[in-house]
Amino acid sequence: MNMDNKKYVLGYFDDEHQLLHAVKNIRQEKRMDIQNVHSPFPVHGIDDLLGMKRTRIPVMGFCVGITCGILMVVFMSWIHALDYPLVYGGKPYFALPSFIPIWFEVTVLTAAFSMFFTFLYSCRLKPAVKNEFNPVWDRRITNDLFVISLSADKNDPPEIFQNYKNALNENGALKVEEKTLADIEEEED
Amino acid sequence: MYESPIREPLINGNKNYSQITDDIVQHTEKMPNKLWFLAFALSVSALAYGGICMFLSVFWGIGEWGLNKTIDWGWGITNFVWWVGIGHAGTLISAVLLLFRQKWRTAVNRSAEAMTIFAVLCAGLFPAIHMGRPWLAFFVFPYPNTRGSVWPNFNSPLLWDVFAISTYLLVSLLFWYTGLIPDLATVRDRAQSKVRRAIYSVLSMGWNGSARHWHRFEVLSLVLAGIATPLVFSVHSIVSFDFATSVIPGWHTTIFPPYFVAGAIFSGFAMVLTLLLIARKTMNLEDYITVGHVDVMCKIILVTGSVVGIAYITELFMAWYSQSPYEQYTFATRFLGKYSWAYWIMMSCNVITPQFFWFRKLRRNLLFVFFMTIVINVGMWYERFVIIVSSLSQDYLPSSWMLYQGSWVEVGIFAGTLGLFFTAFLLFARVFPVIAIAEVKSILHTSGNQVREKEMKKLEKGKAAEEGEHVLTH
Repeated sequence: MNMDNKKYVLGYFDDEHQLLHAVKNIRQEKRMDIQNVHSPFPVHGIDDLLGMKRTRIPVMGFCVGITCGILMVVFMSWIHALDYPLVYGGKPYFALPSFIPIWFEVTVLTAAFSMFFTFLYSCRLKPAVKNEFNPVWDRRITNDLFVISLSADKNDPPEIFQNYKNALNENGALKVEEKTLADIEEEED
Repeated sequence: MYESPIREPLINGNKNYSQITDDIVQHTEKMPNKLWFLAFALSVSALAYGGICMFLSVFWGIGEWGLNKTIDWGWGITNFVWWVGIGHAGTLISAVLLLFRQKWRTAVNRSAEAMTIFAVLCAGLFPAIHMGRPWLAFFVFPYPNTRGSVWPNFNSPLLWDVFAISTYLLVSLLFWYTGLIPDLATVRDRAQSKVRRAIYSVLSMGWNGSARHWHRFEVLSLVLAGIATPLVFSVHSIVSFDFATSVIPGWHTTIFPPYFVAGAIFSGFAMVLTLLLIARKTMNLEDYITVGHVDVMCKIILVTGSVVGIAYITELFMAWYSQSPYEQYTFATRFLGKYSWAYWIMMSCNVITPQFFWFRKLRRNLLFVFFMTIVINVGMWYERFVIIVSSLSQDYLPSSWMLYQGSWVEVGIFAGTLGLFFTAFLLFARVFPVIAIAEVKSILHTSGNQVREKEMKKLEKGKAAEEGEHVLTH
């Protein structure tokens, strides 16, 4: 199991506007590093406030799509012009217009699949009963609860954790808790 | 983005986030009602009957069908094009409306995408079983073989279809499943029993609502929408090429790709409405799939139905303008010949009926809309029947002219696909949330009825203040 040496301070909110203000305040004014924010739906504006870098999933899709599309055109051209040339309806052997529909379809298909699997890989999602990379701090996160999590090493001085708790409370958190990944393990069972 | 308070709310009933979760997820948690079981029993029976007919077609051969040398495509291909057409609305709602930032799509996109997948599955059955030796269906794929390495013909639209339909099915599945992951996590976190929690944990892949994951999720959805949109247009254009690239009068025309695509969206939206009007009533989802949603979808049906109507007029015009005696005869036969009954059903169902949707009252009369959507789907089936059968029955050589009637096996297979479609949809409604929970929550604070009412009050206060000033100055 993923037993990192960290303790997490969690602040629970039930309104996304308060959440956004809290994130702004904690990151920009208090200059504390937010480990993660959890929400039941994507909150607009939070990506910039957290200083998130734009994902490169579309780049992956583009590269794979273009490459596989070109490979498919080369394959079709080899089949029809070199390997087994036959005259179909008076068309030339190298019938590029005929190859366009399948070129497009293969490009889209491979781009879509590569992006989907890149998404799963980068989010560390996997079809398993337990996912140790993605802790579910509270079952209400996928319902109506928003969470800001700040983390520090277990051996760090307790003032750090107290500062985190104060910051969250000042910003209107409904509840503030300290948890480790081991606590989540126990809760699951 | 600013939204005018005069616009109808997209979510009624003063909902909060946990109510939205409850309303939608509860249907996956409790036993379905008697109506569900009745519908399920009917669909499974139809599916079983269709399965028998499909088996007979494979075992005894295509002689079980009513086809002959002249009319070699009948019910089978009509059904294929009908189902593929129906499948197009789902991707349009999910992908195209996402690109157009239409928030109303959030209540209908999950069911519409599911409908697409099931419709394309039904469609895919037909190319497989209409082959003489369906157990050799893998021949269509290009793989090195010992027959000289004989390859499939990449010049043929029938092969383009194989790639297009497979791609469409797989990309729709990916798009649908991507959107489902956060909602399946919602179902997982409410699960009481260990088994249920385990199943939905596997399905939701360990989703935990992390902001980084939501960022990647949104970007993935947007890019998938971006590539799915040209996919929608290309797939039905390629299906239309099955006919347009031939030489048969009535088939060999460049109007087919836009005509077929518009017709697909037309029939697809009609089928989405048929399903959703039933679902919203039986699952008490009227607060999410509002009358406003139905209104907007009817407008899309009006537009695409009118495009189909213009395509009909274009065909007739080109038959006259080309002065081709074959083209002219084909169209004269369509409205006067042996299949004219089918032609007139098609015309009344497809051209006349959508025009009723110019009237707001009729767009918002749900019983009328439901009846119309069934009429439209019947009309679109007849459209494909008219194009295929009437053109084939009387083409260039009069000595080959023949008539065609679908055999009971062909009709049975069609009934079977209807059974498959409704069975799959009923199971989907039982096991997965039929509305995109996370997406609906994300529009609650901009389009929920509480927000609108507050904004309207502000607007009215502002107006009253203005009028007050106006009165004072005069």
